[in-house]
Amino acid sequence: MQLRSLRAAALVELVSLVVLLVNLSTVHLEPVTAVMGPAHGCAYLVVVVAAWRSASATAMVRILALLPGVGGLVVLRLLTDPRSV
Amino acid sequence: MTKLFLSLHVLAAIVAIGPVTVAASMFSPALRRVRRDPGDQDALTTLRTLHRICRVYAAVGLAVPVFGFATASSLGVLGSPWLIVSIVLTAAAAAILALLLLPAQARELAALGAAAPVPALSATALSHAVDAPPGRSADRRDAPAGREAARLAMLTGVFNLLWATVTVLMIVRPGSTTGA
Repeated sequence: MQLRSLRAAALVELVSLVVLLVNLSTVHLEPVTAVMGPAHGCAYLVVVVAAWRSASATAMVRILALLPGVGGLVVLRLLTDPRSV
Repeated sequence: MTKLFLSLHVLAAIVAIGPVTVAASMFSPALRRVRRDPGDQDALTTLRTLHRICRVYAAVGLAVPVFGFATASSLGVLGSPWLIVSIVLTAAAAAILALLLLPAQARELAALGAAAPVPALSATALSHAVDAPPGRSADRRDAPAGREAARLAMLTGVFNLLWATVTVLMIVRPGSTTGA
């Protein structure tokens, strides 16, 4: 899996979760939940699978990918930052 | 809103899954052609394009389950057995595509690219070669040339069959009371 798709999935994972929570605490529109919920779930799965398949990912990176919401960004950071793991 | 979700769901299925089924089916014959004549640059370009179609439209295809779930939740049918079966079959098809088909295609392209006399190996094939799980490509490369093409053809067949089954389930909806 390419880094570009991981980056996109990581962004969708976080943004969709923020939209879901903001929606829940304010207007709570059903259609927003209906679209953002599955979008968040898909992005989460894409991040987990991408981290699991990445040859450069350590076991720690693969576990951190399971973090809800921010897992994608954490993995992205660890995979692109040469100073980290 | 349900109608909008359903329209986007069907549109995404037609636009994204259609090309993947066709391109994946054309990949193994194209691979055999390249294997028969390794100097055939046109065939190699075709093979790369077919892989690219599979990869890009697989990503676009993520819109299908997203809008599918949106439609199902606004219709209130998420608990229906026909839908649960469809979801499981779709997950299986997605797993075959993302975890078996696309990596195998990338591996074949990387092997061909390394053996080809031209230096113009595409960046995508390279990055996939780097990203492929280690230790699995070496043993496969020694396999008889036709075997990997046959394995790809089988995986594609299973993938297409799963999608056809899901499509029929979506239309027939066994046990549904919401009308034809």
